[in-house]
Amino acid sequence: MTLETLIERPAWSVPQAEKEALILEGLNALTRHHAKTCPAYVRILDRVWGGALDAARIEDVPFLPVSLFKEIDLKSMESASMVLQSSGTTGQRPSRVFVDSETATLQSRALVASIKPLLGDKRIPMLMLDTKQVLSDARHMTARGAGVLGFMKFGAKTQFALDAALSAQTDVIKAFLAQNGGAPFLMFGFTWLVWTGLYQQFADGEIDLSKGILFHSGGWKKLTEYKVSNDAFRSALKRRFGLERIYNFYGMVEQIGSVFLEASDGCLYPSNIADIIVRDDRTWMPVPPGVPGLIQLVSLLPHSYPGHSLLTEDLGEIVYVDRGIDGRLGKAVRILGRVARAELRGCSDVIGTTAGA
Amino acid sequence: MTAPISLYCGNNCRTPIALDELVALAERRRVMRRKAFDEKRLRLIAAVADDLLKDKSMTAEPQVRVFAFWTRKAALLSMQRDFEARLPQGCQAFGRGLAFHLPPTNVDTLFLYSWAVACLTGNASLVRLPSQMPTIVQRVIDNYLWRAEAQDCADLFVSYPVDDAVSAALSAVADVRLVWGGDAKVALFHGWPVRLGGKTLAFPDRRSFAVLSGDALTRLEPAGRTSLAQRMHRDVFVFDQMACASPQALFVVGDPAHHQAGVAAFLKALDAVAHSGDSQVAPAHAIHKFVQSCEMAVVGEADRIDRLSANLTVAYAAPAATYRVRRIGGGFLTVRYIASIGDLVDHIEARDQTVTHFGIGEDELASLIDRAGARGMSRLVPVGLALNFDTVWDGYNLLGELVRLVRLHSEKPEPLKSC
Repeated sequence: MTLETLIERPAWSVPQAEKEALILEGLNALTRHHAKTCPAYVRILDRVWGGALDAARIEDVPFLPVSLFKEIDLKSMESASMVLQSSGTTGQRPSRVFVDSETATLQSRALVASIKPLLGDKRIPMLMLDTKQVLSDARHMTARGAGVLGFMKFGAKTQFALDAALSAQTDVIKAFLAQNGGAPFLMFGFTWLVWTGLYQQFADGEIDLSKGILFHSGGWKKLTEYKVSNDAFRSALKRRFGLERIYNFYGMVEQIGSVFLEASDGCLYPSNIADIIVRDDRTWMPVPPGVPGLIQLVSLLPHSYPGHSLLTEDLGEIVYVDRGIDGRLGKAVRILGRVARAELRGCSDVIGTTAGA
Repeated sequence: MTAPISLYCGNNCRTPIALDELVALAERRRVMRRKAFDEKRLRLIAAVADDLLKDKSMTAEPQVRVFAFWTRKAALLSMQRDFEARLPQGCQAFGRGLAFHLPPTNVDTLFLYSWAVACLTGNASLVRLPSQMPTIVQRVIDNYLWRAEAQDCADLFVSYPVDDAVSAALSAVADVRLVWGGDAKVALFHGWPVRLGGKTLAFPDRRSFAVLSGDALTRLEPAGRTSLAQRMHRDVFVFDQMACASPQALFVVGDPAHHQAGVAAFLKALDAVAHSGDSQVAPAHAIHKFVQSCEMAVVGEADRIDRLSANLTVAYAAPAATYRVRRIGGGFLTVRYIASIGDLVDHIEARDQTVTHFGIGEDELASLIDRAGARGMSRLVPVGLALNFDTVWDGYNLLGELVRLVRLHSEKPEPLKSC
């Protein structure tokens, strides 16, 4: 099975051409699997994709728009053990992703395969840059909760740095550092929480995180007012805390477990079981490296829901392929933000109050 | 405290004005109402149209060009003749007083018609300018104010942020209030009475569709197909297909076995026109259309969805699905085959406004009105004219609604019989 082959190979060690062949086989198998098990999916295949099944190239694999998970429940099994939800912006329905134990196991194995090479086999003390409350409902997990849960596997003696109101518990952080700050330790948090819950809570040099290893994700969607570039983020954390081992990663709740991890070139690299296709934002035709466009994500993990091929609303570009930076092969990706919201015109004023207008 | 109000004085200049001052000013303007089609007013509006037609930078904007043609002198004179010919015998018409216009925020040129019609029928107007007014539309107002200055201008153009107190106070002095902009806005204004004896013309949310003859589509030669596609493009793509009169559905009289090729060729031609046009659909909206397509497939509204390009997506309605279509806009059409135009009768609703048609006989259209007019629909126009404004709109005869009649009875009283 191609998923096993890919997950067993060292992370980022598979050249692009070989990877694509393996992934394509797995994606075609998933398309057939979901066509059999998900009635909603097969209708989309038949009616929107003209009955497409086996694709000859990965860019020909049918894809769903990622926000469809906000609109309808898409599942390929009877009962899910867990429903993952996107954090969602206010006023928007969150995505709902149905995960069973098989898919959850695959997600977890894939995450381990991506993170282990950077951490080694030994579990190290962990400072979680989030609140314990994010895990309070195990059946309806948010994207943040799932991230926290996924990363807890890599740490030991995990301490939560934030309280329920997402304010820093400075005494907890200081106590954790007094005990563990002298040797390598792990930190994980959403990018904006690292900024508001950690960076903004301390003065330069007030605490020492120079032995820390930080994984962060999720970007700035939540707090657009802190538009901080990745470079500025890194240098601010270095200045304030002496923190240098920082790994940004990109992923989404609809394909949890498939992560794109940052290398020393600042680019993000997909894990072995996932890949990216960048498409022209109008024609949706694949574009070559160096050309920005809409991001499509493919992953071999989703078995319990038809999420193996998704068109996102994120913009990005493939910077180069098989370059070997830090020994990594495959596509190197840069994320460029989100597609601009569309404002249609029309007779109808949207709501009464603006209309008073 | 009420929201700051500003009075538009032309050339991008605005003066702040207090609410009580504005109300007093509106009352003074109200007294300047005139006879309908007063010669000076007609000449003034026609002169503005003349200026627009001479200015290439203005006529480059199709919506402004259409307005200029609509208000050129010959058109106004014909409108006047038509109006006067239909007055009941012995009647003269006068403006009702102060017309308060609440145009939609996004269809930039609509308020020009609302205002021009009120002005021609002899009313004084108080127009709340849309919050997003393109420069080119502003220049139409500039032109009018400049020309009107020499005469006694009766019209006021104001801006104010959302404020119930202001809307209520201005409503209270209005003889006619024209509320454009959909259900929510119409409902909001229902709360504020107009002047005693005044009235509201309300324009709530509407839906529109096209009816096309499958035979006529199939018979089209390439040149005719392109020309029809160009006309359909105007109906669909101006105002992002979100104007009340923009068709969302195409009903094809015929069946897939005979007409599918003709329909597909026409839609392909429409997509080609959209591709060469200057209003391209935004990438985010193209994704939204894709999401809607998938939903329609899942819930069984559509049998097949064809994404011709980012600009145009076509959903073929499932036979069992409802005739109501999603209002997605930005180049999304739902196609449904019907055996005859009579199939529409039971599905017409009060919300239906404009029916654009191609290849359908006048007798069939008349029969549709006969059978379904009581339920809904207010305009049936050939493809290409969906967005052209008319003095009969949403079921109102606007000229008639905006005047007050004075009748001179010419019959002699019968002599009183002596007892």
